[in-house]
Amino acid sequence: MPETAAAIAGRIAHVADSDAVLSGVDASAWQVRGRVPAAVVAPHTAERAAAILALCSEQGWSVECAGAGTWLRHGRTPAGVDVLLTTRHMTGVTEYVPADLTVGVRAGTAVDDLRRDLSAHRQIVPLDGPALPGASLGAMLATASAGPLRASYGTPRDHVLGIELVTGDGRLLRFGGRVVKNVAGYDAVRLLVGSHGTLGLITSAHLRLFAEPERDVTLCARAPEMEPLLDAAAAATSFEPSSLELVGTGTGWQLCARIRGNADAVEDATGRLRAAVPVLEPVEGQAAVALWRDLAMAEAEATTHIRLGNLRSRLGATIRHALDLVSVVTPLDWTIAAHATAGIVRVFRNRGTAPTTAAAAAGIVESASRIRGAIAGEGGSLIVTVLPENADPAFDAHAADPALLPLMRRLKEAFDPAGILAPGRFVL
Amino acid sequence: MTPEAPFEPLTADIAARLRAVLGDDGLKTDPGALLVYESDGLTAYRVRPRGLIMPRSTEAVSACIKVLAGAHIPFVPRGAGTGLSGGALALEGAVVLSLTRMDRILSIDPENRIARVQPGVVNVELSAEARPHGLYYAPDPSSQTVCTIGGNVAENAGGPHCLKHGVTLNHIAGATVVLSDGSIVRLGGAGREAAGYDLLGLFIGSEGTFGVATELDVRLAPLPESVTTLLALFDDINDATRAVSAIIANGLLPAALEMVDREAIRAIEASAYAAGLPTDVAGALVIEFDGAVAATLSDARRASALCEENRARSVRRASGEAERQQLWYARKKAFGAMGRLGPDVLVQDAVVPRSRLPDVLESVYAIASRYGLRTCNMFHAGDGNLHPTIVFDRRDPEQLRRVEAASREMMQACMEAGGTITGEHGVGLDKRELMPLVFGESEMQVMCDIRRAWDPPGLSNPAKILPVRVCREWTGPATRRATPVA
Repeated sequence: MPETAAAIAGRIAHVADSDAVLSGVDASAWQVRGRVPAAVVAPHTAERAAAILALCSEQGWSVECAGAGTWLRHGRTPAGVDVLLTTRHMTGVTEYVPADLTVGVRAGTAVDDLRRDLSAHRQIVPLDGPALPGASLGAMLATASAGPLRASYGTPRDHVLGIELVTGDGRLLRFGGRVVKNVAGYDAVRLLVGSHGTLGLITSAHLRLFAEPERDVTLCARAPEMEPLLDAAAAATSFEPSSLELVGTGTGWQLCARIRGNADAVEDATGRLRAAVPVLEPVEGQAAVALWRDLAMAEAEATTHIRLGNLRSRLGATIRHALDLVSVVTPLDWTIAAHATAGIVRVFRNRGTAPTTAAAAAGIVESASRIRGAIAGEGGSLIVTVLPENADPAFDAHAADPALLPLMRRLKEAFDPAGILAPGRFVL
Repeated sequence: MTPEAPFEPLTADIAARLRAVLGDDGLKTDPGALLVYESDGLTAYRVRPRGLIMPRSTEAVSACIKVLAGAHIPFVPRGAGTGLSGGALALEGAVVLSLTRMDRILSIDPENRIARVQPGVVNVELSAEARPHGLYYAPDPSSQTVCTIGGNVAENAGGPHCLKHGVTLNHIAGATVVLSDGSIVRLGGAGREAAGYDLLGLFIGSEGTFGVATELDVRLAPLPESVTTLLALFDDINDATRAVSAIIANGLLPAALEMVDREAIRAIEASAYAAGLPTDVAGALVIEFDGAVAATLSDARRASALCEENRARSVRRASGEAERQQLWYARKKAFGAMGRLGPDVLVQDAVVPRSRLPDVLESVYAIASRYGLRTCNMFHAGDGNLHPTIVFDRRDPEQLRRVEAASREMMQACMEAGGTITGEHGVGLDKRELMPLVFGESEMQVMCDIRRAWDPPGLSNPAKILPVRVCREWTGPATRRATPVA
């Protein structure tokens, strides 16, 4: 880059709010896989974000989009970061009509804050994906981060009714709306959710809400080995649980089922589930809340994170692939967690473990490549969502279908013609 | 009405090359055979296609598209032709690519609740085949006895039971797609997580403008253990819409929540689909819960109480499966029943926030009456998805003008209430010029770019969804290219 960090920060300050630019020491708190942005900008409005992105496109400065900055470890390591744009000054609910079960929210709003606003009306947004405290709604949507409740409510792609975004070249666009059914034009909302900041900065969204369930019961079973719980999971699947997670740590395995709904229905379903799968024992309310929260936190804090997917009938084989994957390193440092009804298995490195050495990182990457080949042969997939520190930055973390890359590239060009948004970080 | 002049027939060379792929009976060019393909479910528009091709495999679709692409001849994928937005019209000299010969269910995997089907499989036949496994295909558009899964995917079709179970998008796990250059790609896939953008999600509902789906991985749902259906009758239509709002606001999630107004009830009762509904009520709600017995009974009790709180004349449970089937038959065949009221029926499609249903429905009646038109309404109230239906005679140009004006005003009223111009029928040709009500110029430009990303030469179902002027730079040349090439 010809410009110095100070020059970039200075130019940005010209078009940004006066208090929006952080640089130097402050910027180091926002490093993207070890790369410190030349300038960190936190505009207060979408219009200001548009002016900044227009300048960056014109100058060819690379831009990373962020919310609270809890997802910066994701994807591949960028060559460098000129500007990091955060929505943290763009917060709050813009429109909430409880009777419609829809809400409009600015992207920088912490999901926890949104939950609090909704709980006053006994409503929820079923986003329980991996998230650190303070994680923003925008980041949850940009990463399409889904959690155990996907078994009953679907993924973030299913909950977003409308989106406002700023494209790479500074166009402010609105797609979708605030109604629950909409087929007017192409579903750009679907494209934006899960695009990892490569198509634009999401500045606000309209979400579909659900009523808070009257009852919310969690049942768990523990075992030293995976196999008996795998059978229990298969049996539990037919009862349509709201969540069904099979989690393995160094200390053994745990199967947790969650049943939510009206009181009569939950009581009935719980009774029948326990009759069919007697090993499942109810977990007391506070402990259950902590259990689900801790799982989401542990996953969000992981320093390496890999997703394996295949048909749910192959769940056992997929988990064995995950075990194989961590066998090349220190298995005790890793957690394996499966969305048992979906057949998706996450393998992640626990927080607080020692940094991965270059040799260990190379081992994981090599092992991931080998297992990707094996699981792809069985019709499944393997995606590295967080590469270990010290891993070869050229490693293809996503392995997208090469036949689809030209199409994805053209789609990116429609939103980011200068190619400044997170270049090389996510698939492209 | 014919939006454009007819195109020259296919050249002998192109016809011969298509026949080499399809066999003699796979290509039709005689006017008699093409007559059926001049329009879809929206019969107001008619265009004679240049030809009809009926491939039997993905490879044949790909080979035909390569032949057509080489001569810059566009194509329109078509299932059963039941669409209601003119989406299957062969504009710009297009050839109709019928998928009805690709009608096989390739496999059903009960354990993973997945079926692999060809696009020409009829919606209700998939459910029938899945039934012995305790499964069914949930989306249930009113045309489900004839419409195809491929067509459902193109339109992202809905249906009464989408309130709880989701629209087509939520039930498709993967697709094999032939793009406009004849290349074959695979989007999504059952069991695997596709890396990168959600191309499958973007493809579903693209109305045939991105390419042709030739194989689909479809999610099946377990047959519900029990179903409880309520019929609530109201003397004031506003009480009925308020009951709908109350049910939604109280967090109940019926499988279906449908409303039928007085005019619609009278048409149904005077037809072969009569379900014994009293013709003196202002409106009726059909409310259905499915799932475990305990859940459906308790939800039905609550919904019943909410209807009574909103001054229902009566609320009763369908006494058995026969009565339930009769209610749904009446509801789904209601558009057919409308045919008794006049020679032409226009079924509109718009969505509003659910809390706005009472005032929007009032506006719809007021607009119709201002234009001296008869309207009746039966719709997916739980989704806020209105279907104002206007009965008219298109041979009367003055009446047709009033219908078009009223229709546009109804759409505007829905937009002003925070809604949108289509919830499940699609934009097609019919609503193309209404798109500026919903989108700004920049949004439409991006959508044009999205279309071009999938189909750079603009050969797949051209001139649909976006106003022609928005994508002028490619529709213009495509029109010229569509003239015969020697």
